[in-house]
Amino acid sequence: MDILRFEARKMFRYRRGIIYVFLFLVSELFILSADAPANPQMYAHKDDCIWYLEQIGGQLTEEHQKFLEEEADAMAKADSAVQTAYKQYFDGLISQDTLEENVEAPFAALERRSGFNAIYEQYLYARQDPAHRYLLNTNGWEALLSCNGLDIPLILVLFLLLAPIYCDEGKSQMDTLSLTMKKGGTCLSKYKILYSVLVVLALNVSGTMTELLFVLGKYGLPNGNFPLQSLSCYGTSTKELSLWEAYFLTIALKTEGSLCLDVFILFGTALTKKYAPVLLGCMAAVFLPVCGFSPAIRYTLPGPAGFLTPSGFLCGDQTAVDSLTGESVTVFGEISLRGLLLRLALTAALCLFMIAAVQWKNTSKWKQHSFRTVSKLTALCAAVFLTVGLSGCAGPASQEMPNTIHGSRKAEKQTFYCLSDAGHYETDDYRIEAKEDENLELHLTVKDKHTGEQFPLVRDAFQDSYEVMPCIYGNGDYVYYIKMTVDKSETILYSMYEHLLVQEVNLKDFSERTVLKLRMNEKNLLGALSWARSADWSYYLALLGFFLDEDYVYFISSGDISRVSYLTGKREVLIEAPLLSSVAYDGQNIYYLNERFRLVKFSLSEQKSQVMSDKIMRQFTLPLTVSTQTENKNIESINVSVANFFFSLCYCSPV
Amino acid sequence: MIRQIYFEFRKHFLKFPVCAAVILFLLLDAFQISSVYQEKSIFSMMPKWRARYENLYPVYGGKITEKKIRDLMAYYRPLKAEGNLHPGSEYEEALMLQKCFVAPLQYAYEYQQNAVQIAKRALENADFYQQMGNIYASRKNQQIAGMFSDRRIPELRYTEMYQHYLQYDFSVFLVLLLAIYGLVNVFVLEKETEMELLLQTTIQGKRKSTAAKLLASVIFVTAISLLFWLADFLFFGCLFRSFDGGNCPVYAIEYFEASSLSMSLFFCALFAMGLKTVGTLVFGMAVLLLSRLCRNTLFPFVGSIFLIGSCLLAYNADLPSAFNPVSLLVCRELFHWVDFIDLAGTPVLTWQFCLGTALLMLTIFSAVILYDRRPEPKGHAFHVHMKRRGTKSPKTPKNRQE
Amino acid sequence: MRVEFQNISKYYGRKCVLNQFTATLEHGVYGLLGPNGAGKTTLINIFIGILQKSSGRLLIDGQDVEKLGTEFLRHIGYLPQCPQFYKNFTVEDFMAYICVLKDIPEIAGRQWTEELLEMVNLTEHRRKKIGALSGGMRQRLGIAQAMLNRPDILILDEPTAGLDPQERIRFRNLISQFSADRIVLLATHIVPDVEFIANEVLLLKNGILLKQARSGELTQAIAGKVWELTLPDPQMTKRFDAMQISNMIHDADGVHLRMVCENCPGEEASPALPNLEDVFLYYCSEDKE
Repeated sequence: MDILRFEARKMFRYRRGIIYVFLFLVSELFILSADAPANPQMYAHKDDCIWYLEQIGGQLTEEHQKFLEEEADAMAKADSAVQTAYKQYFDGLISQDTLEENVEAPFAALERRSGFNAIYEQYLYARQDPAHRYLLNTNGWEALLSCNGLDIPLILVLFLLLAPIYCDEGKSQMDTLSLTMKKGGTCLSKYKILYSVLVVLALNVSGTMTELLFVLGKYGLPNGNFPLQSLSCYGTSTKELSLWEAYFLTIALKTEGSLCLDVFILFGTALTKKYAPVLLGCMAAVFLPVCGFSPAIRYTLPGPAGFLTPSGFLCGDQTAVDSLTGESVTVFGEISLRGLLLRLALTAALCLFMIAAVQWKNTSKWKQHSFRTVSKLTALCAAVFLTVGLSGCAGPASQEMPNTIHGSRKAEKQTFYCLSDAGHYETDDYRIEAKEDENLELHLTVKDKHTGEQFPLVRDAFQDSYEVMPCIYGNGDYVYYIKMTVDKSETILYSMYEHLLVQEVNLKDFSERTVLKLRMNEKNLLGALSWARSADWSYYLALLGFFLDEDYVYFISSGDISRVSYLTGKREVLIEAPLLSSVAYDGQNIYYLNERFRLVKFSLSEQKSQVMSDKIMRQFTLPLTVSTQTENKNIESINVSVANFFFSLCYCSPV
Repeated sequence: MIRQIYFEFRKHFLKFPVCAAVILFLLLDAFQISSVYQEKSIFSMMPKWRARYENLYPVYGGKITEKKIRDLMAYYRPLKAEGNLHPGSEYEEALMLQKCFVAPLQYAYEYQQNAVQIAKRALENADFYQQMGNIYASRKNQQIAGMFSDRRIPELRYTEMYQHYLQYDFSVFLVLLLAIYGLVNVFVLEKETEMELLLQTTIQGKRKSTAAKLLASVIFVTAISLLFWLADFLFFGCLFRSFDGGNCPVYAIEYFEASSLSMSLFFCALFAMGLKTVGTLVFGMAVLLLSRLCRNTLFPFVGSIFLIGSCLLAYNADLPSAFNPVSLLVCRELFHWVDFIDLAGTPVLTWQFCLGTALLMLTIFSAVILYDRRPEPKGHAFHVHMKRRGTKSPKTPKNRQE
Repeated sequence: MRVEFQNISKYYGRKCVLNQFTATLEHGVYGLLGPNGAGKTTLINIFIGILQKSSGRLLIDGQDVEKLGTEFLRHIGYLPQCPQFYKNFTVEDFMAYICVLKDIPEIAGRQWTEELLEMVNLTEHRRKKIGALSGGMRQRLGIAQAMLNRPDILILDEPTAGLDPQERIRFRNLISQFSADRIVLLATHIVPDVEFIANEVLLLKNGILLKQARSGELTQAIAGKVWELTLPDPQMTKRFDAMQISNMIHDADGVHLRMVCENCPGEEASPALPNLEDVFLYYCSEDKE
C-alpha cells in the first residue's frame, strides 16, 4: 500500500495529475452540456408520453395496439371535429359559445396529441418486431447508448497520466536503482500496473457516473429491463440484452478499451522509456482505425479502438442502397456475442503479452529464472486466448454515428415578423417576393417600388447549383433567404444535400453573406472528433418560414418552431403546435396560434408560453393585426403590452 | 549553414524509428487506398463492366463529337427501352452505358452551355452591382464571368482516379502524426540531453542553430508530405489502372463544376499537393513552437494532438475556416466552388486568402521560434535555485561529466 | 560475507565485453579500476541484476544468487553513476520512498534515515527538493539511500565523477566510514580515489581481469619500472614519445619526466617509487594490449 501511496503522490502531486483529472471532468461536463435529446418531441411532452406509457408501455400486445389505433382514430376524429367547428365558426355558421361547446370534447381528446404523436411513431417502429421492440421513453437510453464517438478527453488524460509512469523512472535513472531493491523491479512494476489500472478504472467510473447522473437528471432512465432493440439504432440487433445489460456491457467494453490503451502505453514506455514513439503508436492504434478504416476493420483488429467505441459491438446488420443497382446491400454485419468474446480474448491475450513484457523488462536478471516460469504461464494463458481469439474472428463493423455543424452572425436591428409574410418583405424602396413561375420554379424577386423594375434577389451566377427555399425574412435593410447546396463529391451518380446556408442580403447594395451554415451530410474530415449530429435535411426542406436574432435562427415548420444556435448548429424545438398557420415575432417574443386558435405569447427570455387572449382568431399579424375572413366581422381592438411597445390586436368574431 | 542543416536533419529525422514509421504508414496508406477502390470504384462494384467499358471507350471516349453522341444514343436508347421491359443483360448494358458514358457525356456536352450561362449571369450581376454602387460584388462577378466565359470539356476521359484522389484525406492524418512525431523532439531533445546550454556557448549554436533546426524541420515536413501525396497518386493510379484524364480540365469532374480553377486535373493534383503541404507545414511549425516552449516530449505531443484536434473539430463544425490551416489540408473544398473573401473591397479567392493566412502563420511561428530569447532551459530547478541564492554559477553538463 | 564471481562473461553479439571474470571479495573496499570501456559498469550491472550475464555464476556465501532471488537484494546497496533521482521529491520524501522499496519497516526506516542524513550531512537540507541540491549533495544522498537497508555489499559506480576536490574528499571519507564490516565495490577510473581507500584493487582491461591485489602489492610488482629524469631542453623529450610518460612538468631547470618502462630509458634517469597511477599506466596503456 505504501508503494501505491507514493505512486499516487508522484502522479497527482508531483506530475500535477490532479489538474489533468480536473480538466478531464470539466471537459466531460462541457461535452455533456452540448447534449440534445434524441427524440425532441418526446422530451418536450414528457408528461403526456409518460401517461401513455403507463397505459401501454412495454411489450406491444394486441390490447395495446388496439388502444393506440383507437386513440389515433379518436384523435383524427377529434381533429376533424375541431376543424369543422372552427370552419363553421369562421364561416359565421355558429357562435363562439356553440363553438366552445362543440370543441370542448374534441380538445379533451386532443389534449395529449403531441405526446401521442411521439408514442405513435414509436409504435410504428415497435410493431415491426413486437417481441423485441417495446414502447418506452427512449431519450435517456439513446443518450447513453447511441453515442459512438471516441472519448477524446479520456484518451488525452490517459496519455498525460500514464505515459510518465515508466518514462519518468527512466529519466531520473530510478529504473536501474529500483532493480536493486527488494520491492523494486517486478514488485514495483506490479504496483505500477495495478495503480495504472486503478486510475483507469477511477477515470472511467467518474466519467461514467458523471454521464449517468446527467442523463438520469435530464431524461431519466425508465424501463431498463426492456430489450435493447427498443432503441431504433439497435433495431436489427439479434442480441438478447436488456437496456441496462447493454449499458453495462458498453461500459465494460469501454473500460476494456481504456485498460487496453493503458497496457499499450505502459508497454511502450516500459520498453523504450521514450514518450514520442509510444504516443505515436498509441495515437495510431486508437485514431487510425476509428477515423480512417472501415468499421469492419475497426471491430476486427485487436486493440483499444473498437472497444473505445463500443456501440458497434451491439448493433445489428446495417444495410444501404447500392447507388449503382439500387439493391439493398449489407454494409455492416452484426458481431455475435461469441464474436465479441473472441475479440475480447484476442485483446486480452495481447494485453497479457504486453504486461509480461513489462514485467520482464523490470525484472532483476538474477530473478529472471523464476520469472521465466511465470512468463511461461502468462504466455500459455495468452496463447490460449490468442488461439481462441484467432480461431473465430470474422465479421464486420458498426454503425457510424452522425455529426454536425454551424457558423455565424446576427441580425442588425429588429422589426416585426409574421409567418404570413414569409413569402414577401417590403422596405421603403423594395418589395421582395418568393414566387413560382409557370414552370413551378421558385424565384425570389425584388421589385423597385419607385421604378417598378423587377430583378432577382439571388444574384449568384451559380444559382443552378443549389435549391432556394420559398421563404424569406426581412429586417431593416437586410433580407435573408435559405439555400441548400447539393453534394456531388461521392460519385458522378450520387448526390445529396451538402450544406444549408442562411444568406443575408443588404438591400442597400445587394451585397450578400452567409450567416448560418449547417452541414447536411455526415461526411467530415475526422469522424472521431465530431460531437454533433448532421442536420436533418428533410426537416429543412419542409420549412414554412424563419427569422433570426443575435444568437439563433428560428425555423418554422408545420408542427413546430425550432431554433438553431449560430455557435453549435444544434436544433432545439421551442414550440410545438399542430396548426402553425400564423406566427409572429417581435424581437423578444414569439406569437402563435395554439390548437384552439388562441393567441399565445412565448417569451424567449423566460422560455414560457402565455395565452394572450380568449378570443378565437384565424390569423394575426404584428403590429396591427386583423384576423378572419368572414363577411360579418365584428372587429374589436385590444392593447397588448409587449416589451417596450404596444400594438393593437384586432380580431373578429361572427355575430 | 547547409552542413548544420544536414546535421540537424540527421540528428532528428534520419533515425530508424522515424524511417520505420514512414514505411509502416505508407503501407497503411496503400491499404486504405485499396479499400477506397473497393468501396467506391464503379469497376470494383461491377467488375464485369470494366472489360465492356474498355471495349467501348475507344468508340465513344476521347474527343467529343456530334457523331459519337449520335452513335451512343442510337445504341443506348433501344437498349434502355428493351432493358426496361425485360430486365437482364440489356438492362445491365444500358445501366453501364448510362453510368459510364451517357451521364458523363451529357455533363461534358452541356457544360459549355452552362458555363456560358454562368458567365452571362455574372456579367449581368456585375452591371447590376455597378449600378447599386456595390463595387466588391461587381468586381467579384466580373471575375466569375472571366473565369467561365471560355470553359468547355472537349474530351470524355476516364477520370475516376483523379476524382477519388482529390477526395482522399486519410494520408493527411498519417502525415500529421509523422510530423508531430518527428518535430516534438527537435528542441526538447536539446533540453533533455542538456545540450542547450552547451549550444549557447558555441558560435553557431545560438540563433543559427535554431534556424538550422527550423529549416531541417521544414525540409522534413515537406519531404514526408510530398512523399505521401505522391505515393497516394501512384497508389490510386495503379489501383484504378489509369492515369488517364490528367489533361482534362478540373471541371470535367462534376464535383468541381463550379471550381475557381481552370487548370488540368494533373496540375490540379500537383496544386492540391502544394496546398496540403503548406497546411501541414503550418501545423508542423506550431508543433515545433510547442517543442521550443516545453521541457519534455509529453506536453508538446499532447498539446499538438489537442491543437490539431481542435482545428479539425472547428473545421468539421463549419466554424469560419479562413484562418484554419485544416482548410488547406482539405483544399478541394476551397476550390470546388468559386468563393471569394472581401479584402478591403477586393474579391480574393478563398483558397488564395487561406494560403496567404497560412503563409503568414508560418512566418509568425518561425519568427517566434527563431527570436525566442531564452538563454537557458527554463525551470531547471538546480540552476534556478543557485541563481536565486546568488551562489556559484551552475556547472555546465560538460563539467559535471568530467 | 563472501562474494565469488565465477567465470562471468558477457557478450553483445560476438563482441565480448566481459571475459571469464573470476574474483572473490570479502570485507573491505575493492577498487574496480580500468580504462573507459574496460567492462566496469557491465560487471556492476551484472552484479546488481540489471544486465543478464552470458555465462558464469555469482555466489554469495557459497549460495548461487539466482537461487537467492529477492533475498539477494537485501544484501546490496547501489549508487548509480550520476544519479538524477526524482527532482520534485524532497530529500526526506525520497528516503521514505526508498524505505518502502527496500521493504524497511516505517519506524526503523525513519530512524535510519535520520542517522544517515546526519552522517552525510544533509539533515538541514531534508526538506529541500532533490532538484535544488548540488551535485555533491545529490551524491551524498545517493550513498545514504544505498546504505538505508544496511547492506552487506555496497556498490558504487563512479561515485566521485563530477565532484569538486572538497566534495570528493568528503565522499571518500564517507565510503571509508561505511566500509566497516561490509564489502564496498567501487568502480572508478579516478586512480587516487582507489589509492586512498581501497583495500584491494581489481584491474580490468578489455573485459579481462588483469590483476587482483592490494594496492601496495601492485605497486611493488612494478618496482624498478618507474623512472624520473630531467631534460634541459624540451626538444629532447621527443625521443621518449614512444614511452609511457606518467607525468611531465616544465620549469626553469627544464622538463621533469616520470615514465613507466621495463628498462632504464637513459643514463640521466633515476628509479622512482611507483604509485597506483603508474600501475594503471603500466597495465592499461594501449601498447600493452
